[in-house]
Amino acid sequence: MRLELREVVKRYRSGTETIRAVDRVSLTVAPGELVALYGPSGSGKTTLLLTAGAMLRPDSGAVLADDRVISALPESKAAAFRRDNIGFVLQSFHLMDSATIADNAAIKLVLAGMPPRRARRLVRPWLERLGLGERHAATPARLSTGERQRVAIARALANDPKILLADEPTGSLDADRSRDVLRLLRDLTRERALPAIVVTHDPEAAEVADRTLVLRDGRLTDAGTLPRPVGSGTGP
Amino acid sequence: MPLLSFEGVGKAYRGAGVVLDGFDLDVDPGEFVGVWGERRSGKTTLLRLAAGVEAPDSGVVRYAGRDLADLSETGRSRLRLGEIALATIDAPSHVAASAITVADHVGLPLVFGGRSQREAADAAHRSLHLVGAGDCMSAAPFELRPGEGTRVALARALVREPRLLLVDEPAVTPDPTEREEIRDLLHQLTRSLRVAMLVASEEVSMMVGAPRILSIGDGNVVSNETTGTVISFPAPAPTGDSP
Amino acid sequence: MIRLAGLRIRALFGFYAARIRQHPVQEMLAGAGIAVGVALVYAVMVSSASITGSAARVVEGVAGHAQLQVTARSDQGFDQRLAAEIRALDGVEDAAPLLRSNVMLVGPDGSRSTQMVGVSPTLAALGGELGPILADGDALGTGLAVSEGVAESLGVASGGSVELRADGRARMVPLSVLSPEVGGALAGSGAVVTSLRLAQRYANRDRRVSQVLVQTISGRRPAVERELERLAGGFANVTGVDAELAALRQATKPNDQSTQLFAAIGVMVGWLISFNAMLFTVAERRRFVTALRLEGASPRQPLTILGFEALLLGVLASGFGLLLGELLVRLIFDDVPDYLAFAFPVGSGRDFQPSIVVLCFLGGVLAAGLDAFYRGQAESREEIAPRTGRFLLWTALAVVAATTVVAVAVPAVTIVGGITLAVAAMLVMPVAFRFAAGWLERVTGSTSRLNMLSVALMELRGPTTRGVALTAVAAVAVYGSVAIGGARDDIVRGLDSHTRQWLSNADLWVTTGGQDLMINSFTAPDLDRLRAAEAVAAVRVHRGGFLDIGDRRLWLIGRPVDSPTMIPASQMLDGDIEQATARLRAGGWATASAAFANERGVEVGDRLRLPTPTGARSFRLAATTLNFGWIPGAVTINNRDYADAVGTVAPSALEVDLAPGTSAEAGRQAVEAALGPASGLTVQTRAEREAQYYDFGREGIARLDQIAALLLLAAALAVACALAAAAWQRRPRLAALKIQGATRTQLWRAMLCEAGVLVAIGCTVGLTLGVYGHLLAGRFVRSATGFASPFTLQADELLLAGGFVAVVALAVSAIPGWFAAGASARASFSE
Repeated sequence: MRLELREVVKRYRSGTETIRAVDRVSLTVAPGELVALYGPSGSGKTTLLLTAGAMLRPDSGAVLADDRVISALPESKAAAFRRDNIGFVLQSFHLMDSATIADNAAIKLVLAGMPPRRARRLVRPWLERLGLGERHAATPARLSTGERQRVAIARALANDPKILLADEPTGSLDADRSRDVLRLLRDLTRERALPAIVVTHDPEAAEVADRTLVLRDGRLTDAGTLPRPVGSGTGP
Repeated sequence: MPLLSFEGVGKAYRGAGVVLDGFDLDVDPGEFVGVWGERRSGKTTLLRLAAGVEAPDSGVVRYAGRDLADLSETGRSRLRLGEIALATIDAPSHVAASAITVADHVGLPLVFGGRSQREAADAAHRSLHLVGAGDCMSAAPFELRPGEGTRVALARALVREPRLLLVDEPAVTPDPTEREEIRDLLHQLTRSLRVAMLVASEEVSMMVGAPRILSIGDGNVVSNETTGTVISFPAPAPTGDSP
Repeated sequence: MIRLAGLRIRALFGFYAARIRQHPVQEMLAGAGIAVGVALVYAVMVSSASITGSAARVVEGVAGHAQLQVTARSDQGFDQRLAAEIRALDGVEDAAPLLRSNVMLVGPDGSRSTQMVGVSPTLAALGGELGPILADGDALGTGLAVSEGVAESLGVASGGSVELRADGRARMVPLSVLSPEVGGALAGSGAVVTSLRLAQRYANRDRRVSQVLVQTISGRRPAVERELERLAGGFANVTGVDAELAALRQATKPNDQSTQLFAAIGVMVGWLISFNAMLFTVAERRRFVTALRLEGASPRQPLTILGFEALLLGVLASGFGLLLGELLVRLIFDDVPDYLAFAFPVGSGRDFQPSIVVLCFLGGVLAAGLDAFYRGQAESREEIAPRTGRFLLWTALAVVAATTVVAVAVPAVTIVGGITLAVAAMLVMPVAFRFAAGWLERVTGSTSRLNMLSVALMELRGPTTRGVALTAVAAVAVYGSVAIGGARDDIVRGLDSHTRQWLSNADLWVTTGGQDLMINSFTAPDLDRLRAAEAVAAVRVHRGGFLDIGDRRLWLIGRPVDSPTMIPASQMLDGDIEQATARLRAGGWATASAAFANERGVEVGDRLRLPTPTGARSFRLAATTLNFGWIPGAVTINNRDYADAVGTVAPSALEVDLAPGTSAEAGRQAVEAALGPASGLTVQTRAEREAQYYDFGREGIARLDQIAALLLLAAALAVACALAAAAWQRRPRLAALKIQGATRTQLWRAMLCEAGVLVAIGCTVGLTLGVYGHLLAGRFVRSATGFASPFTLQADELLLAGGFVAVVALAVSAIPGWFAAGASARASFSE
């Protein structure tokens, strides 16, 4: 699937001001392409991501998936589209504390109408690939942050999405784990020919991305001018 | 005599492994020290040890020559109410929930110290003006934007008129211009109030202009832009999965 | 300047104000729970204190300084010369006679059964409240004196006249109104005061009195008592002046106990409600304490803040609870229950007892404190480990087993089981959760049609403290309603069946009227004339009265020898009914309530001694019975034995059989005609009398119904609030699920399923234990109070109790649930 944003504008109100979080952004992400999106926090990256994911409706412009306009769908159809086609990886995982990892990962399938038992079976391979196969019956409370992040990733991928959207997927992880997760995302993107947008602060993401963009004041620019953090990549 | 000194301090956490190992540091009165490190590298631990919130596994942490471990819990609390201020900027401030306006929020430490509401309010006003957040006084704490929030947190730290200010992650605001302003404010405060400052951040840009920079984490050496000494530490032992 | 742990008081108030602002709903809920508990305890304590309190005031008001009294053993009284003899005794300071009889007043606006008290001027010397009236020469010598309230209810003004029915005759007498200061507690209780002379005339008790109050010279009381025994012991009772109060307490005890039990359950529910509310913020409170410590608060300061907040909450909630309790007392527990008023001098008016207020207040503050300092071993959202759950289950089973053993072995103590079973209901929760969730999961796992239920079950799989606490509210409330409500229904059914059997002896009943057990004797009308009436087939003389033995005001029944039945079958306990009936007819035999017989250590075949106006009489016990609907108990002999023992042939009721084919109405008219216009007697058909008794019986337990309904409502609303609050707290997660592709409707349905499962678990556990509690309660009722209460399970009542809580909780929480499900995506990005 190909993901395209055409002249997307999204405003929101903050106090008495109206802020253009996304200001006439156009972006095409090809299947198998991973785009890393940087920018100051609160700059609209999240808004852009949610709009690209048919969760928010743009004030003007359009979002297309394979030439189909998904930004104007009614709520229930948009929800169904997200459920069936998009894998969202969020920074705050919001896992269900009492449910098992398998249940958490399988939630989208259950929402789509699959019998729970079957859904749990279907997500096992994902959990195993992410190193959680043994713990499938555990609850999130017993996992480390990194493991919970991986559950969130499994959840995003369980429905075999055609688009991958990630918001700070390495936000709570240390350097090593961050690298692992980013590499995993890149592998998956390539394997399944997914268009992927990864919103991040993590300099490592630039290493795995095919393209690096910056969102500033609602406008997208190329990341060529992004200052490399001092000291990275020059370890002993 | 250094205001704050670490002598051979070691600290480890179950699950995270060793965070500090044989760590030495002297901070003189009125000195500005930047502490740079990635997430979970031990910056917060360093600040908490300096504030006496936690005790080191080995070694000694001294404030004004006194071993913090010699003080009682109450004694250390009193220090934190007065001379040592720990400002944790990006943590959700549950203490904020106990106040109705920003002025109350800022004046809280004085209230704990037993001063009257009026004194606390006056001090809060002064403190807020000092950090350039005078117009936030009657807002509610949860209404603040990140940049204002940083200033208010600093104001609360400063309301005690401390001698040592420990700042944990002031770079919360997304706006790079505002970040510069905060950074400059911190330097200016050090000079005008003659308060020693330890500023920890994972953002390199916050280190700009610091006469002294410490790097915690993987042992990389960071070059500084002014003349000053650089200290680096041995890399801590490999950690398990982060908690 | 007051400081606590270095913090100024104003600062502490400021903290609490901010807290209320941040969590208004939780604080209100916590406060409401405490208030409910306080209100219930207060209302119960005040109302039971009021009954005995007001009676005590009446007794004191009349008796003044008197310490002893000599009371007649029947309403025939004894010769008034005894009063003079008593006054002449050595050691007696003063003595005054009284005549008390039950009468009926009829006015244009209504009628009223009450007690007429005839007093002589000598009463003034005892220093009671009636002194001033008595001092005023002739104030009572012209007619009856009543309180304003009574006069109003009758529709008669001071100086007017009213129809007085006494001793079976009706006459018009003048009426005057006593002002409250003058009449005191006696007038306030609705009694009628008049001079002794007039009372004797109206009641046809020439030269007789029912009571002599005795004031002894200091230090001479024991000697005087002995003398009084010598003088009057053969035919009258010599006791302290407060003997009646003890009898009253005995009579009200079971009702008090059951109301207390209900209040206890109410307190549990109330506490659970506030505990639930507190659980929402326990994690935040911990973070609060930690954050304060970082800021430099001393170790004691955060605790002081929390403690102060708990104190404030406790004070506010208790205060509100007391107001609520006062409202309950006025609206629900207001009037003097009629079922006592005819037998005891129960007054109206309230006793302000500061001790009750203080007790309830402190209780509320304590509850708030307990909540605040709950530390819990785990986060309220963390799962309760299976091992812990199993341990709790075993404990619950042990509790149930122990309760059962106690109920079987010592039935009188069973009432405590009411509370222990409620506790068991709470303990069983975690396992019930797992079981229910697991079972539902198996059922829904392979189908796709109940997917929202599956999603809900994912959240519920592990019982958390919070989930369990929520369900416990529903469980305990439903339990209380089913157990006590069920027992109550049994009692009522038993009473009804007894009433039918009791009254089935005759087609018409002729009595002095009013709410009573046919214990008011009257001069018999012309029975021959009555029998001669065409509609009348037979007339039998029924006799009855009260007999005070120890603490019991027993009902002594003299059943007509030729009654169709002598003993209602539903009341039989020990003995053969046919044999007992034959023996009663023969004479010299009696039946007695089991509680009374046991107290005396008398079994069937043994001799039972009764102190009567003609001296001590003994009867052989033919059978033991239940209590005939009168808590202190009843003794039945035949009416000839009664006349012999009590020394009067006066009937207290006439049983009339009608000629075949005569309608009840026609029969009544014929009897009324035969009795004549001057008769003060009331003629009732069986149906009318039954209806009167039905109301009578239900009245005693009416307030339980009201408390039960309130409790269920409170629990349902509390559960709804807790569900709503939980849903609201969950908004970020709900938003995250929407991002993953859930629709608002799906989320809402999942939340409803979750709420439904939680409430269903609670109601089921409550119903199950409630039925068992009902069973045990019935046992207690039968053995400890002597009420007949055949155990019957009413399925519709059960469903109503459980269903009510479920429906209200779901309906009320559905609305905020819908709004929570509408959380915007942004919500998932704020933490």
